[in-house]
Amino acid sequence: MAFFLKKLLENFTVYGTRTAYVIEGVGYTYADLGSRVATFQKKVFEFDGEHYFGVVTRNSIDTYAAIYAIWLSGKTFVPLGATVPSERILNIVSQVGINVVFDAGNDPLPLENVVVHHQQPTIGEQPIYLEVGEDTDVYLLFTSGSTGTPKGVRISRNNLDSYLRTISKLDYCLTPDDRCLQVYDLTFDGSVQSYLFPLLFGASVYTVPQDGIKYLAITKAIIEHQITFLKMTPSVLYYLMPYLDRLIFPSVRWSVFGGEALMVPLVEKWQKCVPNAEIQNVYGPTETTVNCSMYRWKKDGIHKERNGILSLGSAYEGTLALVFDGDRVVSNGEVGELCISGPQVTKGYWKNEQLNNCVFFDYPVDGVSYRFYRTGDYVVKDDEGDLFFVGRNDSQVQLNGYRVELGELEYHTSQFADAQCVAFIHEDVLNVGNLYLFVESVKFTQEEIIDNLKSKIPGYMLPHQVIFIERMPLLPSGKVDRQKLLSLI
Amino acid sequence: MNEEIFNRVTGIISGTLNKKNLVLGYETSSKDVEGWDSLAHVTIITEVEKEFGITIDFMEILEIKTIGDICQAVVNNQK
Repeated sequence: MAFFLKKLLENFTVYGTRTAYVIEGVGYTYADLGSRVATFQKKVFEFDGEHYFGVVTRNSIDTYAAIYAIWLSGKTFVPLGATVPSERILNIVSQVGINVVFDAGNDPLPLENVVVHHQQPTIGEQPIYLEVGEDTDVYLLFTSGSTGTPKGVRISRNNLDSYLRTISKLDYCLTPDDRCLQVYDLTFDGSVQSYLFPLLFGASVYTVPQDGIKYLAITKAIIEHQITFLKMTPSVLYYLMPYLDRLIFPSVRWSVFGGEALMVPLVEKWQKCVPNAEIQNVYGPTETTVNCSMYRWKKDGIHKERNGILSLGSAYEGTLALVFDGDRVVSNGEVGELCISGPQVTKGYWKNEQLNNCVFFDYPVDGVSYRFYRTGDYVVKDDEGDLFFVGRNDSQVQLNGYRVELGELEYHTSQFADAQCVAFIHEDVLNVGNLYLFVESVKFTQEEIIDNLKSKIPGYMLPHQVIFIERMPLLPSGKVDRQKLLSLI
Repeated sequence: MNEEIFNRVTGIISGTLNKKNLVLGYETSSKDVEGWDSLAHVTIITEVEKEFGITIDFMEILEIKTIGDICQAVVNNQK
């Protein structure tokens, strides 16, 4: 029994007249949302044989209603980014075998599948909860894959339920008077916490559009709507840095950061902007259902950090976080790969036996065998169980909260240009990461390279600059001299 | 609207985005220009403040949507 779905269903009635969502200035009550969910649920039932439904990620009440309709009907939701190139969308649709897509946009994506648009809701109608196995997928999120093909992370009802139950027991104490911001793109799992968790408490969710200058839209929303619960990526602070000493947001009670490394000097400035808030840093790859560890910032206290990066904190209740060097668990203080076990860990990637065999393994703890996931994040754990990010062993980077496989940029460009490519992430003066792509060719223009990439990958992965060189500098070993390339930026 | 301010502002925008031959008008917003993202926006505003020797009130910055708005902010904050 999925606690979060039962609560959601209950709340359509219990909080009927309260505001559930405010989207582009329009408020929608819980009762209104419930009717819309009921109407979409009828459409879901029409396609009884389908299990995986695509939902185009729009900033629309009907998008959220479609997601809830899919979940309450025991089905799986696959977000399809509204601004993602159609080749990538088609790849996902074909990988999963999606036949029905919900698209609330005015300019729907040109898909050949059955597309369900806006439905006129019947007032007062209530959706129903369909019991299905707890291992049933609740969402399937595609993330950047190093070989050029996106990989699908399967999150089950049990995974999501475990996560939501765990954070419900924390001291957020959300009430119907809370006003929570939803800033994330719906293809990013961080959004699930932002748009769903507040509804379990009768609180209101204010969404921010994904286009335009986001950090300004976020700041405006915090002020205009007197936001009390704020979760966002650290990059927003980077953009606000010139203004941090002029800003104050007294309404904020919780300021949670997740999605990428959080730098201590930034938080030191930010804490003055949110004088009434508790600040937290949360961590977790998509594979561990939104977040699996948390660090609480102490105002005017001593902070746990490493190289200026704030600690990732300790694992949530029910989650095991161990640090490995190969097969061996390392001692506290030693660097190793962070591996996670527990009810929040995904059952695996969509139809990718090979990858699943690489990243999941069994390991005994106190005589019991647990299934662990290799995060690829290198960390150190201290004696109190707090984790510190050290680095990664591959070419996966976080860019404004999004996971980017540098290999994907390199793959698509080398195919197009028939030349060797190397991608880098490099911080600029504001400490914001930018992507640079070196191409061993002089036959193309930056525009041509970027135009090709635009047809293959989402906008946030496009390089800031493409640098053309005649020959890649090499090390004596024959490998590309990355230091030399870096010096050319 | 002061043409001189407009020209200086659009000069900063073209320079920041490293693009020549941009067609920019008073009604142009970030959504209309490729490459005008959050990073470019912070840089443009900061450069405009430096160019005109002003500090634009943050609440005003929040309301800036078009190039015309930027020009107006310059006018509002010049002594």
